[in-house]
Amino acid sequence: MEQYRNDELKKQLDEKFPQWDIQIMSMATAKAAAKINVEGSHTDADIVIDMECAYLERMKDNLENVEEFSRLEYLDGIGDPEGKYLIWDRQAGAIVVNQAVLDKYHLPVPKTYEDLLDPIYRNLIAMPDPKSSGTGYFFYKNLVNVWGEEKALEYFDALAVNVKQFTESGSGPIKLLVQQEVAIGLCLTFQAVDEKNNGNDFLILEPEFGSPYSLTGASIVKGKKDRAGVKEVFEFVVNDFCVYDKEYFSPGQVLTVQENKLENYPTDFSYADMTGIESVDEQERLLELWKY
Amino acid sequence: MHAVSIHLGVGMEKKEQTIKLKVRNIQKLYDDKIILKDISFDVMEGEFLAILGLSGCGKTTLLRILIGLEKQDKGSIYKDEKEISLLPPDQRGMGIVFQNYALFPNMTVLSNVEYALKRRKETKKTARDTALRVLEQLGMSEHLDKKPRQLSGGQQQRVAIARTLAMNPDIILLDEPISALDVTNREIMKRELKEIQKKFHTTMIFITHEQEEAFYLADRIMVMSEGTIEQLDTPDQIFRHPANSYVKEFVVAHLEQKYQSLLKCTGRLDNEPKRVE
Amino acid sequence: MKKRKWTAVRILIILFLLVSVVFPIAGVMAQISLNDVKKIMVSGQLGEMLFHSLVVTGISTFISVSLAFLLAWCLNRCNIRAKGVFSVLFTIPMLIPSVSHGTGLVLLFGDNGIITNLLAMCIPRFKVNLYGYFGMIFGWVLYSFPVAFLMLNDSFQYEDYTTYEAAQVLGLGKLEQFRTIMLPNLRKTLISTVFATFTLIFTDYGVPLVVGGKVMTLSLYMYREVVGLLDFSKGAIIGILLLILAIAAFVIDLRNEENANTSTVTRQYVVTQNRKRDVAAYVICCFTVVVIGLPIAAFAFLSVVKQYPIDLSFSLDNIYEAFGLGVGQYLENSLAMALGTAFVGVVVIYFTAYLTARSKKTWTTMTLHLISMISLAIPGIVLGLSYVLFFRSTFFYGTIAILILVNTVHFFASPYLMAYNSLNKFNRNLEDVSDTLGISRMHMLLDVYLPCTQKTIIEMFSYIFVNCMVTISAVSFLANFKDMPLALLIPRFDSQSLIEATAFIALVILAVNGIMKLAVFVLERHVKDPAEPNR
Repeated sequence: MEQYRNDELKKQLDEKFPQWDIQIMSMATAKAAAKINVEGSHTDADIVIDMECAYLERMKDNLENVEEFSRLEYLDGIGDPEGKYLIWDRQAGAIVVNQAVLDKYHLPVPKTYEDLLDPIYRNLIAMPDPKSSGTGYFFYKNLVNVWGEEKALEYFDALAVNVKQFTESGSGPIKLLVQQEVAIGLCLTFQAVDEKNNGNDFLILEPEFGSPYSLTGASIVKGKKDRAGVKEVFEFVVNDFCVYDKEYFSPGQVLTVQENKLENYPTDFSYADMTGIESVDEQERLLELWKY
Repeated sequence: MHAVSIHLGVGMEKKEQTIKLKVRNIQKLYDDKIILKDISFDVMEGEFLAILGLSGCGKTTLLRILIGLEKQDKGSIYKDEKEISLLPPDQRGMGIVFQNYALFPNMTVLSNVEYALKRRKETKKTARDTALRVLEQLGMSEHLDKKPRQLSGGQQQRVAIARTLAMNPDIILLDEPISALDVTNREIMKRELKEIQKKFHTTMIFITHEQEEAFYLADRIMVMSEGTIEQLDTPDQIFRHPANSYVKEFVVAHLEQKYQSLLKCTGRLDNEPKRVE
Repeated sequence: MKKRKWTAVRILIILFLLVSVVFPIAGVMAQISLNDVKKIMVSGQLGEMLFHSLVVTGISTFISVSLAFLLAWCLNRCNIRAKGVFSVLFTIPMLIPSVSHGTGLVLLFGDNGIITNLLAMCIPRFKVNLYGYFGMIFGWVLYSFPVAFLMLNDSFQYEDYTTYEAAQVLGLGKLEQFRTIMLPNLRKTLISTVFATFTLIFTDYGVPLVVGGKVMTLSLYMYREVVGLLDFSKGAIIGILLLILAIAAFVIDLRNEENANTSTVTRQYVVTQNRKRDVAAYVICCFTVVVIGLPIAAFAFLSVVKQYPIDLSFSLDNIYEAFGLGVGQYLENSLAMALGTAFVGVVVIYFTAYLTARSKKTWTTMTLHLISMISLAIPGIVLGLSYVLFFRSTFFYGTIAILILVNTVHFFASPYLMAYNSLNKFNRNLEDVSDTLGISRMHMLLDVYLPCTQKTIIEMFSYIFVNCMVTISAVSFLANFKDMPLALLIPRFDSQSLIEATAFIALVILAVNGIMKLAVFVLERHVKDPAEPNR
């Protein structure tokens, strides 16, 4: 998760479980998944949080069954029928614009995906790299769903010319926007809201075809369930902290009953067509075709 | 032949002829090349033996085999009737002084000499005294605290000799002891070596490619070429009766030429070269 | 017999090197699935990446070596003062990781860079197209020229003046002298330098990671595929490519050494009077120092300013944040790894050099020598990958021990050469002397060799330590959360765009290395050469 969410989690964990030394490591999704896959139960992590479901599906063999830990009620249709992971988050994306930078270069606010191809935005766009970031991938997948593979790939070929950087992690574009290195970013909505509340002059725009998203989940690494404290910590995280997290940090809807306490979060965005977002094979295939 | 005799330094008092070292049928090959063919000879106790030959004749290898730094392919070596052919170099009762002295660069003169003694249990206590004594006998008492870098070539050689002498070997081997020195030092060193030999009664074997050295210093000379002994005899005998054409060319003719050009300068000889039979 | 024991020891070390160098590399090759080879070749990506890699590396090498040559010329052929100071300053870029050179450039010349913004006030719409070729070349020159400088500076001192005098008598002009005397004299070193620089740059992923923009190089691709996605097969293919190129450079260089003519210095070079030339030299040197100092100043600036560019008030917040992110802990990790490797490394490497330099040239000795030098040709990332594959299921995977091992192997060659050259200088007959006097080899080592080579040992220690502090290559595959060294945080934080933290980390690493270099400097002056007379 992002640094500030991790910080809050650590704070609460240290308060609740002073007897254990809990370390939180943040890593790009694909990296973390690959690491656990390769290292299996030798890996140093005990619990994984906020990992894209597609990746969780891929490493199901390395996960414990965690159904029993949840006391929350989730929306219909989401979740793992096999009980190997619990839904954590719905990460939704938006097109975020730094008004200050646009003003500096006297540029108009883009409205559609096509607008982004305009040469006036040359080197002013940042997007996460779908190969390492779930955020990047869901933008990619959404366009594939809407336009079909061929047109989507052509689009990205053209877009790449305007992209300054395909960042490794999903939170990359937001940081670049804050530093005013780019004018436009394909970002996670809640991150943008957070930074806007921090004083940055951002505009958060609903993407043309709705806000693309992916679901993330949490689980315990196989063989780690019986380690001291793991069960208690996990239970706390997926229940108490999960609710807290949804209310204050990441309001994407996952529970049937969910309050939104995050200021300025656009609750009116519609969600985009994300069929097939959890399919591992689909993901592998599309990533093969990604060239950047 | 009076002048010639003096120049050749002939005139060695006859000593008891006990055999110190017996070398039998030494053979050494290196990658199918024969370095030493079939070397057999005796070394008398207390004698000063020169092994004379050009580079590549095998003299260095022979020296190293004698002290055990290299292993012979065939043959044996006896010292005082005991076989030492397979003993390690530090157990043969021999010492060696190298052409470039090989002093320990970070130790003083004194430390250089006493170091090996200190390493051995038996000699640990008397190490310093022995070192001091030997160095005094070689005239190096004024330089005890100096490092090798501060010494001249001749001085370094004396320290190297002292280092060997301190171990009290019966035989000392010397690798080209004179060639590396400049002209003045050569004469000094030649005299010193002779004195050391007299003082310490050690048997000395040295290798050289310079005829004058051999003829001046040695009681006997062993002329070698291409892995074989051409002649082993007193200098006088070699000069008067060279065993074969090689000895004639390499040793006798060479000396004659040098002597004649010298005499011509001093005007003591007419221009007619005298041949020796 | 003692000889047998030493042969056994030599074989033991060869086995060690086999296990730590040769086998893992073989393991990498085994990983390659032909399927992936086909896929990569078909996609055409490989060709493109290779092209970019070669072109950018080529240009960077040319500029870097030229700059290093120019600086060496300034220091050795002109009358300027403070030569010692300058040569130390020129090596400062070696004290920070390659990736920091990239971040420094971004801070200065990025779209929101300090210099960009300053200049934009004078020149409207001023923008430097940093990401891509320009940034990489600039970053790589900064990264590599100190190494080239050290190599060239050294050989300038071994030129014989008599040839120049002869040329002057013959009436050859300065330019002709340069062409006909200087270049051939330095040819050997120049070629070595070119190859060393080329390999250094070619196998680095740190600079393109930050300022590469959309240009993909081979080493960066390898880093992404393996560290990012743990796709070992693809990584292995790229790794083998890099290895082949590095070994080719190494072999050509080796051949070059054989053909070298070693001339002795009869007369040291005499520098003529020439005020104009000296002034130019001063300008060049000072300018270089300024350019080196700018990124560091940028790091310092960013660390103590609240939020560049919107809030320029002085604040230690960023530093607190950095420590909050665990910088303290990672610094400890780095120190543990660097010190550990330095100690272990010095012992192993010195001992190996002792074996090869002071023994008869047998096949075991020659093999040992060869394997020791081979580590120069193996890029760090390839080594790291091979270790992941080879040691994956062993007990010391995931511990600091494997980091120490991989770094020792990675940094083996240079300290080995330092020790080898030092030990080779001793009198050839010292071993014979010890044999005939009955002194064991161990005592010779302790009582003669070690005391006389103290300076070399200190240099070795310092070299290994500094390189461990800045390395991001081999360790990036093997470090895990518990023992991750500080330098590796830079790419991680950079990917999360935590720029201030990366700036601060670069400063910390620079400071630590600076302290080590200072300590070494003081120590070296303090250590007397035991071969010199006692005062």
